[in-house]
Amino acid sequence: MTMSVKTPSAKTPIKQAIKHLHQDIQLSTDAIEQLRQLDCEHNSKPASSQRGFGFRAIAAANIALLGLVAWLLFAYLPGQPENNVNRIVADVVSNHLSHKAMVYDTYSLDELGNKFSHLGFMLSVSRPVEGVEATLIGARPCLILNIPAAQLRYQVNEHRWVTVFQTRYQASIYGPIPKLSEKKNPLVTVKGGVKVSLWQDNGLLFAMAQAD
Amino acid sequence: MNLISDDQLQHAYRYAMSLTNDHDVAMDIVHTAYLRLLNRSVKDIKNIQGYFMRCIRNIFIDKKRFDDRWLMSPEDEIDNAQDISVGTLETLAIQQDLLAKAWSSLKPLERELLYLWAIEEYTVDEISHLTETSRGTLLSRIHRIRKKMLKQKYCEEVLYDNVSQNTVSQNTD
Repeated sequence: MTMSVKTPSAKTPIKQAIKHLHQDIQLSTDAIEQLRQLDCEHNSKPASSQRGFGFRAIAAANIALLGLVAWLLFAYLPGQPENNVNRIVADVVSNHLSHKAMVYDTYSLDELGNKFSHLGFMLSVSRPVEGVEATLIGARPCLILNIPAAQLRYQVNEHRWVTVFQTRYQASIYGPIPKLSEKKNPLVTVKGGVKVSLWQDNGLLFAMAQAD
Repeated sequence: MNLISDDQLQHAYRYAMSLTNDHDVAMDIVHTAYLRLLNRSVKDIKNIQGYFMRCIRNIFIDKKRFDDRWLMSPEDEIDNAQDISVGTLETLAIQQDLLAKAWSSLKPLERELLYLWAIEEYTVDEISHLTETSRGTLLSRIHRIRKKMLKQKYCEEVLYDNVSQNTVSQNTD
């Protein structure tokens, strides 16, 4: 019987090994292009619009700060249950308002197919989304409570869009969310001028965000 | 003109990967940091790359703050810190094909430390400044990494001819 003996020569200094491991970790040309698109979108905004956005951003930051203080007071008071809905809504609003580039440019849910299967779920159609008159313009992975989710952007008109989020529902993380199969209506809340609807369907957590 | 070069973006992405070990999460963090950068007045930022890296770290910590799976146990500062330095990592050797597994077994801040040391070539004092972590905590982290890598038999201790004591002591800050 032959035994393979691992000799020290088969090993490399850890620093060198880490360098080697990171040689292959790099952004693809497409990924860099997506980031550069953010540059273009930002630079193409008229000055007045940017100023307006600045004021809105300051207002939003103030609201967010107040919200954070309120949340800290609420979340850390002994005996208070953790409010997962508020945290989900905060992530949904943040992703909805950000202008992060779409990773998949597509006009059809079918085209996305199983693009998100690596996140542990398949994209699904749900009744509240079907009622929205808008065109799917792209999708990207995002995070809801730090769990990977799919973010689908629908264009209503030039200045208005709807964002739909889907992720595998996990009760221990998301807490109780109304189930459509139990004839319950989506939970609707408004935060920072964004209307957010939350519901469960087909074992997925759905969130839909649009301007109120 | 781009605010940040392609090379700087690659560095930022690799740094985000060292923290997250997940492409999608790393991309999300880089996107968020990039948007923050775009919304800041560039003339207010002295070091764009440093600001960008700090954004990435802060966003990562914000995202992980609520994640119970990630919460690290308190890192006690060890008594014999004077005997530990980044240089003690230089004597570790690993098989290249084992590193990916070993890398996944490390906690985010442990990967970050190794990344900043091995790829960015920072000293402990520089890492301490960049991450706003005390030197003692970093030395304790080095001690834990070393112990973990040896205990799990990912690494073995080897004295390389080309790593003289002088080199080690120079790299210790």
